[in-house]
Amino acid sequence: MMDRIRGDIFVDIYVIGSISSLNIRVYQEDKKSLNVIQRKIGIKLPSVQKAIEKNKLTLCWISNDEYLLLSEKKENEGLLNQFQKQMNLTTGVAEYTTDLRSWFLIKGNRAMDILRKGVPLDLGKLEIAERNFFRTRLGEIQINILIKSLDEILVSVLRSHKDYMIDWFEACSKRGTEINFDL
Amino acid sequence: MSSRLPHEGSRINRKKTVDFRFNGKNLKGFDGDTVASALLANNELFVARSFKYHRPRGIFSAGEEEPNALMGIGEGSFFEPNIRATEVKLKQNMNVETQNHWPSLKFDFLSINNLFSRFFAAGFYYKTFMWPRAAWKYLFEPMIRRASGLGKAPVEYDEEHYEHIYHHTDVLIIGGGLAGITAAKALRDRGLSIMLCEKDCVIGGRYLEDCKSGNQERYKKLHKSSMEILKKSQDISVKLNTTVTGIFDHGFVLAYEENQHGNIASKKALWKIRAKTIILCTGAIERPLVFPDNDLPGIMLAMSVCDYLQKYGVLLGDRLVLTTNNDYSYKTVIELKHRGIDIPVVLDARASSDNPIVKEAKGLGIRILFGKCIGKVEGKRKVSAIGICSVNGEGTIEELIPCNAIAVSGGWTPNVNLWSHCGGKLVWDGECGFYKPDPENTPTGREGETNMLALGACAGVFSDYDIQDQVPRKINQLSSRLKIKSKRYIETNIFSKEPEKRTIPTFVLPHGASKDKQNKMFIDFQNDVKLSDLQLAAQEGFENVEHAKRYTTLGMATDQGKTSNINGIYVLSQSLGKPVDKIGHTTFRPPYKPIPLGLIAGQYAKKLFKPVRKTPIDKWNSLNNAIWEPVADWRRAYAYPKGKESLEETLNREVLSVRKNVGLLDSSTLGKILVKGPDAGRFLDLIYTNLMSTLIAGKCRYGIMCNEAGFVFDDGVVVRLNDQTFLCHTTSGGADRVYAWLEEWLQTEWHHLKVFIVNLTEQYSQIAVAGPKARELLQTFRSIDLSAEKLPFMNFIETNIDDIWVRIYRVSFSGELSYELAVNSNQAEELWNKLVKAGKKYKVQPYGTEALHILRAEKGFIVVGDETDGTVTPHDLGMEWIVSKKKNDFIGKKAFSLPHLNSILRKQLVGILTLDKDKVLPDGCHAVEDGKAIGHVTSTYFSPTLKRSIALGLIENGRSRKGSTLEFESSSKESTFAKIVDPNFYDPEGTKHDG
Repeated sequence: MMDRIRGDIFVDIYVIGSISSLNIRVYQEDKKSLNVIQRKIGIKLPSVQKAIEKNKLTLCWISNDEYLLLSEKKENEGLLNQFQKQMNLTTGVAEYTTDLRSWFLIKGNRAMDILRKGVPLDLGKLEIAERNFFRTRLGEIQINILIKSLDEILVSVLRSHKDYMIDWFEACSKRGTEINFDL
Repeated sequence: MSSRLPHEGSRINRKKTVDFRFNGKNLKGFDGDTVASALLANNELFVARSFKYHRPRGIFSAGEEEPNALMGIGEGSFFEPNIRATEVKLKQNMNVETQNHWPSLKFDFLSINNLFSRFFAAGFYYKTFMWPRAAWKYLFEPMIRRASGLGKAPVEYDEEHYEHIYHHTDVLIIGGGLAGITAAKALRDRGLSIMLCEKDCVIGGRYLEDCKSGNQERYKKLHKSSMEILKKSQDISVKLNTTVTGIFDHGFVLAYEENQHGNIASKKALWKIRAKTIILCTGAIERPLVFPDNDLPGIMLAMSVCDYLQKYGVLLGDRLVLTTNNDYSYKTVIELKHRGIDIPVVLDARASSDNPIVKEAKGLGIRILFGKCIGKVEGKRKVSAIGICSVNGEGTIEELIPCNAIAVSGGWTPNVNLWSHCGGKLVWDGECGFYKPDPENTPTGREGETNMLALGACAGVFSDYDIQDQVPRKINQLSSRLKIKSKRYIETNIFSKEPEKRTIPTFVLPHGASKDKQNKMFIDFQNDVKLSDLQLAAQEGFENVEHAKRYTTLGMATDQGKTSNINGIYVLSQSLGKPVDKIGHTTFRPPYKPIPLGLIAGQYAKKLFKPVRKTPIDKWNSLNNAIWEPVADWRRAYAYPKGKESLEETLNREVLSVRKNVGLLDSSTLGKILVKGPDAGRFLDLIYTNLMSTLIAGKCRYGIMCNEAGFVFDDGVVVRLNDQTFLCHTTSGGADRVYAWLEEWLQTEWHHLKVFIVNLTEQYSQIAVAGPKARELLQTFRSIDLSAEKLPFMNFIETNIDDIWVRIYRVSFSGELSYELAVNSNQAEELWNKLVKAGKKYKVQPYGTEALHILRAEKGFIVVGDETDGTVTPHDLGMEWIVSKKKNDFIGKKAFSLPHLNSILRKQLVGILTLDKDKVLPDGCHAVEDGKAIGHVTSTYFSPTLKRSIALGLIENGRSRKGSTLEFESSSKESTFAKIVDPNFYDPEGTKHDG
């Protein structure tokens, strides 16, 4: 059950809370670790600022040796446990970070607009054919953005910033403050 | 008198009346009016007092160049001072107040300054108020401060909605006049994203008004087709009411959006734009001529007179004189004459002009006098007459003409501020008398490429024909340079080539004006800088234009000298006998026009001012009356007062509960960094001063990190989870810093090591269960053996408490039996509640950070940031034991052999006991010996355990002073005597931590 952020706002924003996730660190040349990822998760490593989804598992690029694995399906829990154990037998790392972040879902045709009020990245030229994943900042805090489609965006912040993020969303999504162009 | 015509005004909706208050007087305007146009329509010509001399001033322009009509607009939490009346749209019930006067606009006490203006010349403040010395502080400065300034700062919290918006674009066009629109059209359909920012509420610029004058069918057609194209183009985004205020390196642009559609509140946004290419179409600003008494209400720039007429149907006066040096300004008198306004004379400083527009004016019966100018202006608070004189004379009045308005035009100055913001150079055009962008020295992008192009009037091109001819060509050249789709853009020039309108570069009239007249010639209206001030500056040796600017304050007001800079530079050139291009120009800096401070803050005010990090137990802490303490970005529970307890009583209760029973601490904020890999131990040996590779899995070890200079950087307990995995705990404020530090060393110096690090600070929450009954409390959950034998000090186990996974560390920061429970953060609150519930039997008490600090100080444990300040080594702290002698290398090792780090004069950590045990030393107070400070107190508390004050401090050669008494001096010079002792005040044998 997701809580919707209340108020007269121009997008729908839901507080999801936690999403099962693992932080993965792996050397690109470490075949053993890569093999574990391929075998267990079945997803190729995504390219820069991209995310690849399969069976409700999403592998997101953070840097060339760091990835975030998200699971939006409870049935995947066993798979994740096995993956973590096997990965930690290699020189790579897979660490649960489920409790580390709080996730939000932004829905609506102005979903991107709200992020444009705090994120300095160019969100105007996304190739939505592929999922995009950004580790960036919003104002003064670090956030992750998973763009599922132009009107459905997942955002995560450190769990300690959850309340701050809710306040930020409330302040920046007030109806009447939409980003509009004239003519 | 100024008035409103019955029918005209392209910007106003006469069906909608707007009520507003001006200095308490109820007035009416129309929807679409600016405050300035509404005031003029109500015959309010005298609307301001000047900055220094408090001279009467009127509205001088119709735009952002306005130097006079600065007002306080709004009220309560929406009040804003120093707003240009020419830029603010009138709103229903708006409150408008004039400023910088006392007691009223009409009877201003400080207008007495005007009588003494001869003595208040440039540099007046630097030369006077020298004696008596003390009077500066107690009399002169307070008086000057009181008298100076313009509007009053608002007293209420600003409730305006501000926000920041990020935008990226391939091309940013600044200005929506003919040049800007043509550029946008030429760039479309080339696969580029184009943003066009226009400061006005409509696009079209000056030609928009021309197309509404009825006889310019071609303008109408052009505008209609342009609007259709802009509306249809998917790649063009137009932003109205948006002024670009600054251009910075690499195409970073700040723009200020003032969306004033609302009635009371409005939205104000700061756009942070990244543009690959910037096209500047910012037009030009009309500048005035300088003549005696040129600042009286009723004098206005000629094109502004025309703007008020066409846009708002407002007349500056019904008998208007034009003084000019160019052909452009004739349009104003022709428009006025067509509406039956009396134009008694046009004074043209030139010898002659054969431009058709002059002939047209003559044809309308307007009297034109060439070679003449204004020698004096009569009137006290508004113009009543002018005296005509010859341009080349001293200003002898030849004829007196009664009039109630003067339109003035000294030509046009290209609006080049933004070009200069990021390094574009300017060249002097001696023929026209202005600086314009130098196409050879343009601003550059990050690859060193030209990233800005100036088009239209801001590049010194004024005729519509030339603009429509040049802009497509320049855009096509730009496209090929940028290697973008090179579809050539061709637009049929709908304008016909007309005889060139000319300006002669004349600035000050009459040329031979007497000293007396020069004293009444204002160059910079907003800062009250006169011609004589600039002459004085030159005479006193301020020859460089930047020096003269600062000495006289020319161009330093909030209008940034938009109407005064060129005239000022000319006066300086005349005074120094140098050509203008040798004088140069002053530096243009952002913002182009003033922006509210709230805009800079954006949405980051009130609750969003600073991100506050909250622990998973924050809600419980909040419900249980926690007082907060900021620790880095975290908010931590400082103490939990109960009932009417004083803070001291609370702290005593919390400390004693740990010493006698059991206490719970929310220590979730501690940094937790996972270090994993076959080389993890080796890596940590290089990071910490002590050996970590020898740590056995399942055990904990305290460690200190130093920086390269050998100074303590962070500390914490390192846990070896398994052969290849360590979990390093850091200070609460140091987690991110340490994480970045580890990554930096790993990526730059020791990249050959096979190690990964992961910051898990927020994955795990931590709860300290401390006190003699800690073991009993924990063992109520499960029959696990937590005895000292099974779980010895500095060991850990992983287990479950009621199905909650926990990792239990036997570590102690209080000296008591203590367990630190790491738990997945999502379950932290649940575990905490279970501990509180189970702990009731043992009188468990939550304790905050202050009790924690007292407890650790009683044990003499250091806190990084309290006992260290970036200049303290482990040896200074008496922790030589933690610096390995076996290791070949670690960060800081080299520094430890430096002589100054081994000097006996270094400050060393000691314990301090005041002779009066109830006297708690002030934090940071100095230890004094022979009048010299030899150290300071780093931590100081009243210890409820020892029932006396205790302190830790860093004292020169402190350890050898043990047993001696030292004097400690507070900032109020109060002396306290205390004995130097060992820093461990409680259980020095360490018998308590096993319970």
